[in-house]
Amino acid sequence: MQTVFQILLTALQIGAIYVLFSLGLTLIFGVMRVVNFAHGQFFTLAALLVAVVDPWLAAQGWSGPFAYFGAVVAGIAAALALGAIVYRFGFRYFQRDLTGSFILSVGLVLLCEGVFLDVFGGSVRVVPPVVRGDVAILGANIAAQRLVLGGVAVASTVLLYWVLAATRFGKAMRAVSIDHEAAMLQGIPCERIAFQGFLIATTLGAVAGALIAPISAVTPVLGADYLVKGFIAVIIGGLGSVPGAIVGSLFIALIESVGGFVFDPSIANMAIFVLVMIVLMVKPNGLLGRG
Amino acid sequence: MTAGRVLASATGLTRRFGGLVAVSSLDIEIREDEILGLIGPNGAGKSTTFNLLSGFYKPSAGRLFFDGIDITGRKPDVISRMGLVRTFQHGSLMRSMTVRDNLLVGALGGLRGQGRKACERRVDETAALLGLGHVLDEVAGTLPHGQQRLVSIGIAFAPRPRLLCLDEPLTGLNQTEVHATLAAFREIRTQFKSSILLVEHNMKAVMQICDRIVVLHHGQLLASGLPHEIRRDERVIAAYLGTRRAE
Amino acid sequence: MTGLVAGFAAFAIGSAFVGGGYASNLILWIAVAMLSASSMRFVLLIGELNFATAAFYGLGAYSAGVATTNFDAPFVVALLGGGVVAAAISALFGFVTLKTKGPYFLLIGFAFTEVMRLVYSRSNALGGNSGMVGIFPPSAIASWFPTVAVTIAGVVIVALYAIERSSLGKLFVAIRDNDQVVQSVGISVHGIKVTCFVIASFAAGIAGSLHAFANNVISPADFGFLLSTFALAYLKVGGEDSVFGPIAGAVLLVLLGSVAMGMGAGEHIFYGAAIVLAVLAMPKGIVGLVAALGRQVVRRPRAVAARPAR
Repeated sequence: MQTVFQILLTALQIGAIYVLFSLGLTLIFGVMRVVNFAHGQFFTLAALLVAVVDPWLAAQGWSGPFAYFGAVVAGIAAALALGAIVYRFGFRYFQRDLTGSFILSVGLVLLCEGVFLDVFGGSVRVVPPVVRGDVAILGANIAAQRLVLGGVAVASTVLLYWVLAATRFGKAMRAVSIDHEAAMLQGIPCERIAFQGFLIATTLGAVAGALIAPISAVTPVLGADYLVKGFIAVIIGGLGSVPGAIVGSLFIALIESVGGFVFDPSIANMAIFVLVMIVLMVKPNGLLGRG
Repeated sequence: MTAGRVLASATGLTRRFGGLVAVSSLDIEIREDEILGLIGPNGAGKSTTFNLLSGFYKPSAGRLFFDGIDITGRKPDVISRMGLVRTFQHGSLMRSMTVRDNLLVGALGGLRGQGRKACERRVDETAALLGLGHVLDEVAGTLPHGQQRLVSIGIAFAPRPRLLCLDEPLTGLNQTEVHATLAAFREIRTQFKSSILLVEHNMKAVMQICDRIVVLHHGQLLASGLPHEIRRDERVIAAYLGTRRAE
Repeated sequence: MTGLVAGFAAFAIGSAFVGGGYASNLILWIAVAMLSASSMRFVLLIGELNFATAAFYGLGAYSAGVATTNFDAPFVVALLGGGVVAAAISALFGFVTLKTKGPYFLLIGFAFTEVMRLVYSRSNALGGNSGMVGIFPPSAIASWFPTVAVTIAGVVIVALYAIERSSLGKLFVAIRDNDQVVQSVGISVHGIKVTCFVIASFAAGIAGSLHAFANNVISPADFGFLLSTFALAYLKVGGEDSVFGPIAGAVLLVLLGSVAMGMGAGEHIFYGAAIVLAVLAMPKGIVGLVAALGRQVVRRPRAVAARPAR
């Protein structure tokens, strides 16, 4: 029983990151009908900056949590800058062009990975955890930092839901996502909404990256694995569906957790890939998708 | 004009969408060698009936027959291969390809296994029938709307179906084009011995070309008979007065 | 078509005179690159971006490797075997997955590539993570191998083009344009899509076989997502509308790439930048650019009727 709970807890903490990731991906797809394979680069950039700025700030005399916080701000700012550039010069012209935007994003992935490798070097960086120690919940162990991560993921999801449901901006985003021509006719500034939606998605990715930095080995190719899983989560759940992204993320996290426990990580990976193929065969537009 | 034996028929045809009953207990038959018009006010269930007959919707109840064979629930391409081909209301052609290639696709559907020569002959024949001979090498999407409609009809007729189902083929055509198209329909029935099921709003054309007319209202059969009978049928006139008069 | 055949003949003959060494090796890799890009382009005819190209390329490579090192099969058998194995597995894969479209089909292709990579690395019979070694073409042709590769690639690409121009090819394009109409005249759209996919996968498998003989060693890492990305780069830079596109793209990127990487630029940056530039600046690729320039030149001497806007 305790192992089951441990597995579930592991699944939840893995799932937390995937949720933050896939929410961004599905948001961009919903609002812009764009498939952004390069989403992982915001994640990676934020993590890399945290890994670089945190020790630097600490060396300046900032104490632990403040150094970290400063680094997080730097990381998110950098990711937003990258996002704005990528949107302004790229994705803005490829809205509603699935293939074109995907191809562009593939190019961006390669480009960013290469640049990050050059600028930051390929070596692994470690960021000391901000919140130390383990927490025991019902006999199962979880690193306190991961608990914080999970908490932030939940909070972000709730916040996103609230924004989408209750604010004017959120309703505008939903309108654009459902029928962008009708939204335009209503006077909704689709271009601005798309940009803001893109930035929100970028922030979600950056936050995930900043939070994972203390737990993970930070390298310029950190985003790749999470990206693939996040992507799979979005596709399983159905492109454009926020609940779908969450369902898909948790689904994958569960398989990864169970698979990693019973077999080993690479078998778990294979299982995920096979499962996504099966889901798509049965429901070609994802579990909750509108296609 | 003599109509032959029954080619396609439906008995008790019903289709529900959630709580809405679009078509209810419809009995309809299309005979060989006839042009049957399917009319009715907006929302009468014409499109649904059309989709049911061609296999694009599955009936909630009732059965469909083609050539005496039960085709209820069969897939559209299976039904097409049996000899029932339909057009679509919007975009029933390949915009990016030439007219010749568009017709070729239709021909390939009907001439499976036969050589390129046979297909090319079929393309030329079909183009001649519809007056498209002079635009064969134009890209279909660049043609005026009326000619695009003709291309759609050409694609559907190229496999020489026994029953050609046309979904509002005359929409957006001017007088001359309508006239030419109706002449083509007559040719199709007389020379090629195919039947035509026509869903159409252009009442004048319907009255001119159809051998029989079936009127739907609220998903049910309202009236059926010869054009001059339908024109005078009070129930039909009453049903249309909400939207427009039967001309 | 004659232009294509003549071009390849010239290329093959020319390559024979280059002699051994670096240039010769480049020609070899250009041949493999243009074939993989052509395979991806072929599936684009039915409107799908095929990220499983790398998977079938990899299947071809491993089949050729196994045939040569484990079974001592003759070169021709190993080479063709790569194509056949890829085609056979693609028939099954395509039958099941071509019911999905667009980003979903793309992701399934991507997932499949990764699964196959994991399968290779976990399978001891295939050498696991270290892969296979010792895949050599017969000594008789070893020194002429670049020419052989160009010829084989040329034959396959010409065959692909012949199919593209046939009735079957027209059906592919019709399906991409309006698959509903194609279905309505009684053609099995799914069957035609699978046929297209199998043919393209055969070509990818041959490309993989050539890779195996060219590199002499293969390992799982060679056949991941990145490979499909390179094929995509050749295709986008060259231009996806024309059969010459993948060829132009492969030539340009392999040549430029070797220069750039000789100067220290990373593989990632080079190919990434190439794709981004191509997508943003020349959506029709190099071939499209040349064609547009050609139209400009022609337009002045002759009065050409304006094309009606679509």
